[in-house]
Amino acid sequence: MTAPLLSVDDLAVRFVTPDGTTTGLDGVSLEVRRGEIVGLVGETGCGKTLTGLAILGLLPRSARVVRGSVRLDGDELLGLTADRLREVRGARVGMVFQNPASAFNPVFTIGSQMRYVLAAHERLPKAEAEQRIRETLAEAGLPEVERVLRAHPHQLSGGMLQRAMIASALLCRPQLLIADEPTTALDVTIEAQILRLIRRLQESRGFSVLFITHDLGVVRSVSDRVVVLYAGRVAETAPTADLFARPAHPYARGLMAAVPHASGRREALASIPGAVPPDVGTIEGCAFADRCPLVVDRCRAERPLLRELAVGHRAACHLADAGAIL
Amino acid sequence: MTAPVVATAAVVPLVSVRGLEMAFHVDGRVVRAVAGVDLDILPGEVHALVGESGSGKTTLARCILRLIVPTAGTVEVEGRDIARLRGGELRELRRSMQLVFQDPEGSLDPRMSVRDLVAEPIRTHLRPARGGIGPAVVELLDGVGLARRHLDRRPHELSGGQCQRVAIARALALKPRLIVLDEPTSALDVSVQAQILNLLLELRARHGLTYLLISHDLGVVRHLSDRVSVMYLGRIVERAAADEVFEDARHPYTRALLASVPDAAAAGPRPTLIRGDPPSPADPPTGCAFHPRCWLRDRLPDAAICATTAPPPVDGGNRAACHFADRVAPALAEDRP
Repeated sequence: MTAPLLSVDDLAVRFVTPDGTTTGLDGVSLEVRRGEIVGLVGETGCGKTLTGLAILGLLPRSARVVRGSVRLDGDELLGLTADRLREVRGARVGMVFQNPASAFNPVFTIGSQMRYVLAAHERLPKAEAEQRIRETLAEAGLPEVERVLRAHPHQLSGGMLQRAMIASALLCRPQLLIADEPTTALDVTIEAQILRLIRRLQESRGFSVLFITHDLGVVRSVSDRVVVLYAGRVAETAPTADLFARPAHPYARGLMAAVPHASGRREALASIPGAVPPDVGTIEGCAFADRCPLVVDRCRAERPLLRELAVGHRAACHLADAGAIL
Repeated sequence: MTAPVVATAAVVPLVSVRGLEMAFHVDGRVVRAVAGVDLDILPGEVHALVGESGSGKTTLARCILRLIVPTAGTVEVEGRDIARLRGGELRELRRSMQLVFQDPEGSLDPRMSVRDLVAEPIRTHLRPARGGIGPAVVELLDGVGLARRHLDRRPHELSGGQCQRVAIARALALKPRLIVLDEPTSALDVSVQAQILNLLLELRARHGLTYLLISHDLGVVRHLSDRVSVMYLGRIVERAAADEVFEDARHPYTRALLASVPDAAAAGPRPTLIRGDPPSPADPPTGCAFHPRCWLRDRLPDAAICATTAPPPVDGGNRAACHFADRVAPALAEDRP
């Protein structure tokens, strides 16, 4: 088996604010293999966006990487100088964010912003650059290329802007695309189109995707593998079909039982009592222990590590053994 | 869920909307955000409005609440035309119809304590004797799952779910007949959303409430609703019991909307039934407003009428506003191997 494209190992991030310090990520490890879409899912504050920002070297000033490593195709990204990081971002790693309207500069046309992105990373003859931009936009499902190039962001719909955003992210043919809630601001009809577009482009170009979302339905429809985060730690990771068929971590099970389905009404929705702990860094045992219906003494005393339950299916729970998930 | 409400002639609607239009003037053009809607909300039902952004859901709800005055048509609440209400009658209408917003923290005054937030509507509308509010506030909070220890907190000291509970307690304080829920859980995480959805169903059963639910989340709609009205470009294109809409939709747009939902209960890709963005309400297509995006029209040899003639509107005898509603299910059945 070849080495994964992206490997995040024991990544820990702390926030330092005037009010004290708190833990953002507490030892997150995950991998994205070549040509796969990995869904990173969790609730508000679980650290999913923070993970994406840490990979890109875009952490806010108040956040510090305490330990860990982020390797892209073997190259360590943590600790790179700002100049070296800029070479990675945009060229080797593309980014798509939730709100395309605020990701583009409102006073420049889409065309000028795309030319700027391309020129920042590659020195191409003008004709070749123009052709690359036009091809990429068309590939992203924007056939009216000339109109899009001349448009300012406010002149395009949310769906078209997100397509333009994806085209910009893919302009320099990155190995990895980090998409942070790219469809959350869109209507479901547009969301479905964007999800299909990302899948289609991934298949035709062969890049890898880290797809960050809070939406279990989106994760299920788009990703090959899922990583479930809880309170800055990885709770469970598995191939998508496996995770939805046999969730092992009580938190993952709780989440799935809480989602109302359009495809069939559930009699009652389970809810997860309590709240996320304020600072997971101070917790010696399992971060979910206080909310867990299965909790035993060991859960509070000893932090559960990710254990392999089936091929590629790992959960950080003392009680999730191979027998319990079947 | 309680037994579904059956629409019969014997049931007098709580809210009755007829021929409602709401036009706005935008950049010198007329935008008909609501372009002729008839709607009955029956007492005790949860009626959902679904549709894409700009379909007119929120504008319709605002007209029903008389927050804006429609450019044409009438809204009757318990048989009285709300446009004619004045003074005490209008105050009584305001009391009887409450609204819960999407952003729970933004809808609460950050400087007020939970106690004052819940007491405020009682003081404003019910003019109770001095000092007599305390027990009522505690009871209301208890009813939405909050405790005495929350009384002196301010919104920023509460979680999003707790803020939404306070907003619901404020709405309940006036013992309303109708509560409009405008995306009540969109800003919440799923585990908290489940708590709020369960609470809303429990309160409906306990207080005999009627809800008008606006939501883009079709899972939420299916979980809460008895009946569903599907809106497209300011019109209702399909209306039926929730199970009928979700299991056996008759309008091609409803089918397309449902097929777009990324469902945590369903694996794998589903057929694409819709393309592009909705057209601008400032420049709606001729005939059936959905025809430029319609997948069914593409498959029919005889569908010229769709571009020229508006389909018959949804009413008691017509579930879906489509010339070819009876062809929807057969067309999709052909797709299956």
